[in-house]
Amino acid sequence: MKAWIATVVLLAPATALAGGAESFSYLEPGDLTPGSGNGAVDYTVYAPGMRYPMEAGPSFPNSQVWGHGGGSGPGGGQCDLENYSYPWRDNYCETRSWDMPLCPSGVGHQGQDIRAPTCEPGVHWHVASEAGTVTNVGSFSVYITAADGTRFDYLHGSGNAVSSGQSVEKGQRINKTDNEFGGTPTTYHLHYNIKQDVAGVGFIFVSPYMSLVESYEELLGIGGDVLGDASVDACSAVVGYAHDENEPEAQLAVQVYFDGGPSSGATGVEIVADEYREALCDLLGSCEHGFTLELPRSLRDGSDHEISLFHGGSEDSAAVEIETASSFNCAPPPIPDGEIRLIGGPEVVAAWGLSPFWDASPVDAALLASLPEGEFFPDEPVLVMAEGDDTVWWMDPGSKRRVPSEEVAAAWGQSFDDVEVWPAHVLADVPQGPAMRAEVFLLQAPDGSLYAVDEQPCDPSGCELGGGGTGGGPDGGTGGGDDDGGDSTPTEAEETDAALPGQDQGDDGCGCRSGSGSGGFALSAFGLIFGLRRRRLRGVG
Amino acid sequence: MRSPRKSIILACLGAATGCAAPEDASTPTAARSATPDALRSPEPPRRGTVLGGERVRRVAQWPVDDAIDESVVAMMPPTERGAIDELTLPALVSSRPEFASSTKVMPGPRWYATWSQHDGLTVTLNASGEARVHPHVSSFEGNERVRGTDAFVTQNETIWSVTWVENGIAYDLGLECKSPTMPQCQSGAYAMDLAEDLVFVGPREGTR
Repeated sequence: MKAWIATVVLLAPATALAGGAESFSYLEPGDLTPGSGNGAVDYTVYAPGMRYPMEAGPSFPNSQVWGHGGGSGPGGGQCDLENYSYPWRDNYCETRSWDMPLCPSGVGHQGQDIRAPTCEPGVHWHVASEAGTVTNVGSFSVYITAADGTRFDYLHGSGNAVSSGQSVEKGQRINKTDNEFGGTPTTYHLHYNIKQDVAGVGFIFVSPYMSLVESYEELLGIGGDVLGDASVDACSAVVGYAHDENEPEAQLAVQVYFDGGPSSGATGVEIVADEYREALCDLLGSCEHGFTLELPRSLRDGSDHEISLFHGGSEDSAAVEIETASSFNCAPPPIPDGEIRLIGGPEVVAAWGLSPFWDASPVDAALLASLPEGEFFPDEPVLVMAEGDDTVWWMDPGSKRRVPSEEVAAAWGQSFDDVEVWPAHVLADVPQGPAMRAEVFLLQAPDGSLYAVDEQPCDPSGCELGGGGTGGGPDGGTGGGDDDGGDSTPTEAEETDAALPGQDQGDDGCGCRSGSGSGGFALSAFGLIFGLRRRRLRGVG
Repeated sequence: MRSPRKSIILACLGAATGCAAPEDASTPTAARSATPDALRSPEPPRRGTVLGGERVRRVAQWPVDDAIDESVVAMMPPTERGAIDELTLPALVSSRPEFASSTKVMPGPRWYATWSQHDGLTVTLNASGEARVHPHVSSFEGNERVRGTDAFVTQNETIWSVTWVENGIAYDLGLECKSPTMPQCQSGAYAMDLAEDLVFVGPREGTR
């Protein structure tokens, strides 16, 4: 049983008596009470910068059902001191029959149960985790929705101090810890949910555990004595360093925030300051504390932006600001040649593993309208190889497109580990389009619409042999340069010259025809495979 | 806030390597360069982890104004009718008179919520126009079909929720019973029926 330990002397001896603990510690996320189900090993802080939902500590997130006084617990009463002591224990995904897509078993407890400083009802205040709107006061529930749309749920409380529709400030009192449950009392605790719009799933419950850890450390004032700096270098990178004088050899995880901080809803990026810098050796007595962060393309928009550097929050301390803002203003990069393809929404972004933050360049409507537009970007990636051939292809509807390397696949959020093996004759007859681009370049319209910049499909006029199908076209052009209204049956010459998988036709790779006389059949099979493929289920990695 | 020690370091970095501490450690970092050469890396820049997930806008696909259910709009409290016009997303409201007449509309920057209560039932609706993309979460099939699309239906502490994407927007309907023993909360069927009964009420094209 591994516990993260943070040495913190609690500042409130009176309340510490209830907990019987002097230092805060927590078990890792997903480490549920033995026998209580499969936890989600999820270190994501879904609500960075939030306020811990109890007004005061100490406080004890752990299981109600598997704790003392619970139906599956070891006996004793709910006020047993062990329930009111560290370490914390995750109970998101604890055994329940409720469907939960982010739980390893597909079912489980959606939130985290939190005990108050003492085992007393109607005494300890819950407070708003973020400023926002009270979007529900139910029979035993209160929801607060923050400006960014994240919803924080408070269940089983009493003495509501808010009403539906009311605006609240971060830290404002909501209600008190109790056992309200629609006439059937539960134990004295706060059931706390965080609900977010997660691409690929929808508006669902996410693990609150690490957000609670971070916010609790903030509440207790845990932090280090950290030095650091960050600035933009040549509009390509944010360079800097971070160093903790109390742990001089530690390589710190630092948080680079753009245009605000964790409490303002700004976007932050975490990176480990572990790069060697000769200059730091003498100054700090330790050398490996530098970092070089790619400058997100989405911030290269000709506007002023600020950078602030923070440390902590996710593992061993609360987020504290190291360095106040420095600013930058970078022009947008040139848009590569090609056509633009509309990306259907966050679900497509998630299915591909794309990143508008890193890869999307903001463009205005006029510029966007001037660019040639192709077909919709595919909803999900399909990488395949033929039996007996290790060439990897991206199946862009209507054509196959060579994936030059695993690095190129990774740039598009894909892995060669996920490649499907198709019958060789099916793949051989799929027209070949241009190779997958090595660089992901996205465009973001003012209304938020996203486009991928892609190769233009192969030009039928470039085919050496007249009458051949071109493939690769957005319409799925499978055959028949039909000047004469001809059918799609390949000519003998086409069959002879057909490109087979693995036969490179140059980097552009445009293949003009199908590879055998059974093209019609093969393409039907291709379509069938596409049509019958079940949407892949991929969960928490 | 910058400590004297930090000022020393920054000044030294600005002057490259081999720097001794300045004589006056409290001197501000006037000579600090924007990007000290000493911090530049020969390595290509890395991408870090976007905290809390990357935010991606959902682009609304607006129903035509003719699709607005005027009878339901008329049932809503007058103050709430006005609130519809402030929304930035297609608004759905229950067509059941008992809920339409008690609907409260709460707008957010890229979301809205509605709330209504009747006869021991609390019905909430959250609509989101901004998704979070997490690298460890890809896609899931719904476990039910609602409003002609995949939906995810589940229960949390006896509160039912129905989640789906429509009009390009993520919607979530919640149903809470005053007592968990009420028949409407014994399964997800009633919550799904409530979702089916939602209708488009605006905002109109000229106001959005």
